[in-house]
Amino acid sequence: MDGQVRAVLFVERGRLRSEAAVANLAIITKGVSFGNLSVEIIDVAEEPQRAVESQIFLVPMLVRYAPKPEIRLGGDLSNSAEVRLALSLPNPYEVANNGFQ
Amino acid sequence: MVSSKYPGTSRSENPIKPVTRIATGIQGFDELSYGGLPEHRTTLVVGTSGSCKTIFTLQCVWNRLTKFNSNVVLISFEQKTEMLLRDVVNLGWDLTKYIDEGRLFVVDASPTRIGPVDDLHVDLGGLLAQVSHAVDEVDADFVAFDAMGTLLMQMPSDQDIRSDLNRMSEHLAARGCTTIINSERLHEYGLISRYGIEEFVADAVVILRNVLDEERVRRTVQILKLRGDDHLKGEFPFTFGDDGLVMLPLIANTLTHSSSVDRITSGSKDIDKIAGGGFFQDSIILISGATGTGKTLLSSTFAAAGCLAGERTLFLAYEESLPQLQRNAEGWGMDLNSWEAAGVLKVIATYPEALAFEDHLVGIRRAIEEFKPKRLVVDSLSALERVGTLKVFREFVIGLSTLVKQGNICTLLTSTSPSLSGGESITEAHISTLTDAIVVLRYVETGSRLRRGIGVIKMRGSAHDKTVHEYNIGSKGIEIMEPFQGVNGIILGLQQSVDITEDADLQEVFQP
Repeated sequence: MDGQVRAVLFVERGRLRSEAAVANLAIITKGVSFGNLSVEIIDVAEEPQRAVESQIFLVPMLVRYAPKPEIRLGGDLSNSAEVRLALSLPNPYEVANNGFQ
Repeated sequence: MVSSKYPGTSRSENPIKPVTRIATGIQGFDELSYGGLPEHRTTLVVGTSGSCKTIFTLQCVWNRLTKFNSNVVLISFEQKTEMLLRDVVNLGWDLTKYIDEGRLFVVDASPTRIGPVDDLHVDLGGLLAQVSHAVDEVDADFVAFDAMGTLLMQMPSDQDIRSDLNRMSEHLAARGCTTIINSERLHEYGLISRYGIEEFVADAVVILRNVLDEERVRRTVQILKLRGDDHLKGEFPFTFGDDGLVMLPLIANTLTHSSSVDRITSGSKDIDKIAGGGFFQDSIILISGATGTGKTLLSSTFAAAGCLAGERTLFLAYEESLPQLQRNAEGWGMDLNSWEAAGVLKVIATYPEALAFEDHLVGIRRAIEEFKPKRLVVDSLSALERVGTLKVFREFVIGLSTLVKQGNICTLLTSTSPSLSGGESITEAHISTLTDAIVVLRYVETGSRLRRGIGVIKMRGSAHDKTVHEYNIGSKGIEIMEPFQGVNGIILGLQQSVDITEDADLQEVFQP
């Protein structure tokens, strides 16, 4: 992992797909050190201004701002491999091996 | 856990009230729909590419802002905000001013930043949040979505589109907003919208069409549904010109034109006499005759009589140019120039094929509104037959007659018969029921002499002379003489000489 990873997950709280995305993100980032990773969760209904600024029309939507280029990933984040890639998270298999060393 | 941020999921607390309408200010549309868009509801406007959906939407936005004091949220899905705003500057719609005043909020939802989407498990929550925020910002009561289809392409299923749009329209209704959504369709006839489902969400559906009809583009508008209320049915033509869209309802709702007993002169005492004392002010008169029978002379005489009486007269010339008309009129002692200068006469000479029927009609309507004539001359109506298909010509004639009846304008139309001996032209076949008086001009051949005959064959609401008179075109104009003797079938174009003496003998036999 090199450099800072900064991402925002835009959701609408209380809606099934959005809650699923929040839950899936929690599972994927479980046990990950947040030193280099920051994922902010924004409820567009509460903070519409953020949706305006980031041009969010569809939710849930994960936007990786850093490192460049920007990546947008829509949906409930059930495809964990893609989410890991977007957030530059290590493969869980490697993580397991590292644990034995 | 249910979000309570957006009200409107339950409508039951609202007392039931009849649907009211809000005007769009688009000429003709409010008449077609009997008042405009249903208030606090969602109207879907669909059309193929190039059918003026965006213009329709933006014209509503512009009119709501400028004429009806609405505050508006506009969501642009296809074009970037600045491009959308620039496109309508030509039409004189300076929307930027209203953005600065805080009365218009534009949400830029152009595709550039929506980005790739995992085709599952998303909804329009972000859009709803942005629109809701925008409505708050400008305290809007009118919301317009331009080219919604581009965003819907990203949606996982029809079911999702439907439920999300429902949620959107319920929310906006609860906020007291009237909503218009335009969306693309792929075919002029067939599935109403691209996804075939948007129309279920909308309370009203308007279809704009752009059809190639015998190599000419014909734009029409149809109101497909207007939940719980009445409207004019079928397709109606519209045009897109300098000041946006103009729709032509063609028919007034009911035949309620006031009727007048005032007679006006045709400009010739003789014709007034055979017409039973002149034409009625609110009538439409058709002059039918072969080429060279004096139709233009009669129309000039009619126009001159109006000008002399100080009545504003509008002359629509489709066969001759203005200088030609002036020269011919001068020969009969009429000075069109001075009347034009005095403001009692307005001549509009156009080449019929230069414009489509709808454009002609819009032009005539504008001229009538600006000039407010008491008399109208169309010389000749049959020249316009060439402009388009029969069906459209008939619509044009209906539209024209509605205009003049509403304006209480005495109208003289001329029609050229297809052959020298007469016969019925297309014009006559289609408009005879709309006219109040018909004057026929015919060639009569007796011996080897070519003479001319005039007859009034119809004069609604009045007695008239039923004989066919001979007439001459002299230096003082038209001059009517005695009825023809010894010729039958002049009007029908099947003339036959009859022995006058035999006729007289018969008369004697039956004398008591």
